[in-house]
Amino acid sequence: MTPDVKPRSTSFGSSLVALGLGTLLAGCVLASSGCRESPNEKGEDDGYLRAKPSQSRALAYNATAPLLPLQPGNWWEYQVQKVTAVSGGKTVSAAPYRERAVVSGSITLGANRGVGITFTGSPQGTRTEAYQSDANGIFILGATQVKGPTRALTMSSPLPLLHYPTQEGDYANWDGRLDFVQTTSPGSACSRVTAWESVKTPAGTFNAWRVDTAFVANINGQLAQEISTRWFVPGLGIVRQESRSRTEQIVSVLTSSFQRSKKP
Amino acid sequence: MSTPSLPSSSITPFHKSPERLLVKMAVVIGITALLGSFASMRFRHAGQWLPSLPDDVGAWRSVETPIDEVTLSTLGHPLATARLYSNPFGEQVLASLVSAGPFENYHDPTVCVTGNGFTLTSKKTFGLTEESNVRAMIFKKDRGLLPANTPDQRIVMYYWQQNKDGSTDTEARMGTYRDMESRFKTGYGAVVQGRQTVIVRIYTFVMPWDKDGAQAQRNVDEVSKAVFTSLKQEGNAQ
Repeated sequence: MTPDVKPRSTSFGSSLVALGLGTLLAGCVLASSGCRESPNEKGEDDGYLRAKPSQSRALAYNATAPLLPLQPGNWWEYQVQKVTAVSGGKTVSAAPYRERAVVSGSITLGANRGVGITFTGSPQGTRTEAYQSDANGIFILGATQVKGPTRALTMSSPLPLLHYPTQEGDYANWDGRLDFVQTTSPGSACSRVTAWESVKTPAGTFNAWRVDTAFVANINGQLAQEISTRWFVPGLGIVRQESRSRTEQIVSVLTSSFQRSKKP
Repeated sequence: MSTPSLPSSSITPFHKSPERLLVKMAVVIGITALLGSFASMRFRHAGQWLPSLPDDVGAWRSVETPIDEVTLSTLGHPLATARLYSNPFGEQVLASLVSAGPFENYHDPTVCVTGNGFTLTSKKTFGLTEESNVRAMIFKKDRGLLPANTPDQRIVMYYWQQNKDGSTDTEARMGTYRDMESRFKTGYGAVVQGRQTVIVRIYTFVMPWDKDGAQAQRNVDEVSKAVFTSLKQEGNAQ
């Protein structure tokens, strides 16, 4: 009997299969042994990415260097530039003017008691803005305007610019009512401590806390919206302020100031 | 007279005949075809889950923003949705979900965004929540494509793939040799485990005043955490 002989095609086929499996296995080993994509790649903008973005610079109340020092007699002088939007997408810049802000003492607006800062020098007339600045935070109470008849804008409750303690990225929300010229309107605001950053003014370059506030109110059926940005320097106060609405933008920058030392 | 019989050595047994080889090949081809059909069906199934993006996130309000047809065509016409989130300060974050079926759905931002005039200038992978990771990237617009005297333009983007069971992954699956392991994982997950997956991209432009992009990243981070949680809740509920 002729013994069985294995055909050549079968052993060749087996070799091919073995070679293919071996290649596949080698590929898997290579892929899992360090040829994979790197999860991190360093580059010029490494500083833009933080592993814990919600953990940021903290801000606590400092009684000896408050962000808004409201001792009577403190004053600040600002250069103010106003830009108004006109039809056709154009803007008109008014002539800049100097405005002086002086801490004028206690003031009561509605049910809220605070400290007034009186602004003089504006073409819109003299106004007094009422604030609270203490260990709880910094709050706006309202304002009075004197040009012709005195008009008062009063918040139903203090509107927070920030609460203490806080940190970059923190929000402070407000919902309430505005009383203005014998009308009461609903309003809301959202303030955010945005950044600790450098800001240039004619009075110098400072490290300041940038605080953004978005305010909206429905006044007699009209939606009034404004976004304000204030830069607070500890122990000095507001060194720059920008206010933007649909129709105008106002920028105030500090030119000089005086703060009484707080008694220890 | 008896019928002559052929010698046994001249009759090839079936198990050694060429016909058996053909039958073997037919079986292998048939099984491969079946497996291929099964795999295609599973990949299609993997791309059939498209959850919703949340309407509001904290102070953020959103509007639906359809993804353009050119992009959908590039991605292989997956299920997709996108929303543009705006906060009271006028800052905006765009979030998009693309269902992840076949590999052509997985166009990686490091390839697609860089192919549109941007350069990847940083990439980090870190935890988004305690149970999920995210791949964060910065893309910078090529200077030559910007008018003179304009500030640099940067995008902060968070990218991840989220499965219906809430698990996430951040690796690329574009098809180079470096993506082989992640593609195997995707294939195993889709075909064997029956996983359904969406690809999440959330990004914003860095405003000129945001000098180191801190606020931009906080904005993207806030929306991303809400999206992850919403997708996980919707996946668990179904």
